[in-house]
Amino acid sequence: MNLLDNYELVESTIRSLYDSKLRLAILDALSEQSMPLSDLRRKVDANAPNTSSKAKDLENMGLLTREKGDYKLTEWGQAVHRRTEKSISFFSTYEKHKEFWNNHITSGIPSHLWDDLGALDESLIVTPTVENVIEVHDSFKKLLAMIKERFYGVSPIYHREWFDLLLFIVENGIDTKIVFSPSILHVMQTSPTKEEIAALDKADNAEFFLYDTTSLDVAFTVSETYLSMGLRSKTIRDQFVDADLQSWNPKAVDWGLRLFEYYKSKSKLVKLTNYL
Amino acid sequence: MTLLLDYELAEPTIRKLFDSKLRLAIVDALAEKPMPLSDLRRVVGANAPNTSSKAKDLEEMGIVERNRGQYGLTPYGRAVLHKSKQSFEFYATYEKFKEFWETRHLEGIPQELLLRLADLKESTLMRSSLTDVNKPHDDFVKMLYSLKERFFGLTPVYHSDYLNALILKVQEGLETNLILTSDILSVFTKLPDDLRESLKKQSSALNLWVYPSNPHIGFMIGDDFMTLGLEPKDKTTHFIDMAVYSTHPNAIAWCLDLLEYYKIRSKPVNLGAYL
Repeated sequence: MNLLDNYELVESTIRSLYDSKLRLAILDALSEQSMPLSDLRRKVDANAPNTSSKAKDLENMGLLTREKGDYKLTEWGQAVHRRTEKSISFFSTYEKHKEFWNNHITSGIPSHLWDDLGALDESLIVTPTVENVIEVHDSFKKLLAMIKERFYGVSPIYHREWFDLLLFIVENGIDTKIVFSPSILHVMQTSPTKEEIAALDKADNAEFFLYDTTSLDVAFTVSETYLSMGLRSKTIRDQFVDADLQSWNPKAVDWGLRLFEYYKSKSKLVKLTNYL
Repeated sequence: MTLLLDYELAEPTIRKLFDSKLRLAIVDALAEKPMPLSDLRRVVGANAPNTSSKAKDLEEMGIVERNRGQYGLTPYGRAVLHKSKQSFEFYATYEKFKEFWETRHLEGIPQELLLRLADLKESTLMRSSLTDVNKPHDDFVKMLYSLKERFFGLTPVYHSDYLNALILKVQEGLETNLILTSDILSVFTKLPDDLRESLKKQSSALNLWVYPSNPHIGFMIGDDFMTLGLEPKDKTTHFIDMAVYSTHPNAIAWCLDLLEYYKIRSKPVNLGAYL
């Protein structure tokens, strides 16, 4: 279906919704509970004439009704509120971290997860600071040390410290699933010892996967409580740790799990020993 | 109230995107493939300066990117297009059948399914005409007789014509899943003896549930279609005077989910024992 066909039909509704902050504020206030004008205008912080005039617009749009002096959202109004909330959080999540998205290659995130970008609305970007140029790296180490139940991730980068933490986590019986890029497996031929690799392969709680394409543009970890995600820099070669998106929100963790499932489904289960 | 805080951030993008038909047309045009300005302006039917100025706005918004003279959508741009489409379809489905939604009670549709209203976008609104007020009823009975595979649904209305048709079709092997109200169930106990006996004979083949209160909704799924009726706000209007009808797979799937929603809130009825 053509986007613009529908636009003709919906233009006035969409404009009325998004053109007035007061209308949205009323919709939002009433989504929690019904209330009389006096309470409503206090909640949305506007005078009575303005509030009642905007409420009247919403009434004409079929979004609210008046019942015994109380303003109340209709069933349709509730649905429109949830729809609006989702739309706004999608756009605002992009805006919040615009620099992060602009400076990195974003095609590593599949389209179904882009659609659900609003799941990352409560997240922050950790960047190197003047006081600590390896802030991202340090914060990442702290995150890994916190893991108690689950360590799922995609790793296109290798660092000896990271590998030590991986050994430690697997040794502690934590459910571990890691997707590697071919180049990492290549690096592993030289750095860890054969015994270390064999121990990882032997562990019942750990599985390793190979994502067999030339370029992996995401690097992330999903634990039982957080998501930590870096993207490949557009400007600095092989750089992922110049900024890290982190979130402790369950919605974001779930988003991260779906991102992991996506990469796992495109990878094959391997024994690391076979690549030595 | 995070909605309003987020709105502050989202507002410029939302306004720019939805206020200009040309910007939307550009996003829509680039969905298929990247193209140079000369092609883009032809597709959107605008002159080059206007097109490139709006494309530049979209580039600043992170939706469009330029690569060796070609305009294309970014991954975010694709999601923006997809989200806008979904939004427009949602609101358009309401607008298309506005008379239906506005004159009926909507509380029979659970919020999750109301949010998926766009699944009903390929539907038609059926209504009774003033010259033939019995038409919806006659059509419904005719439709019942024509079913071959399945008859699933919830009905808060009853007519003996429906029951006669149903008994016959079940004999012929039609698969049924029906949710009734307790009012209809009590009608069954007062049926004439011969009708009650033939209903009793089919009771093991009839999969029946009873919904404990007024559902304000009636719907059914036949072999390859769905139809939805809602209780009118105006008591003088009849339930089946207006109905949404669709043969689209999304609409049928929507209706099957509606059936599941009501099934888990209803009690199975052993009709044989009840009669």
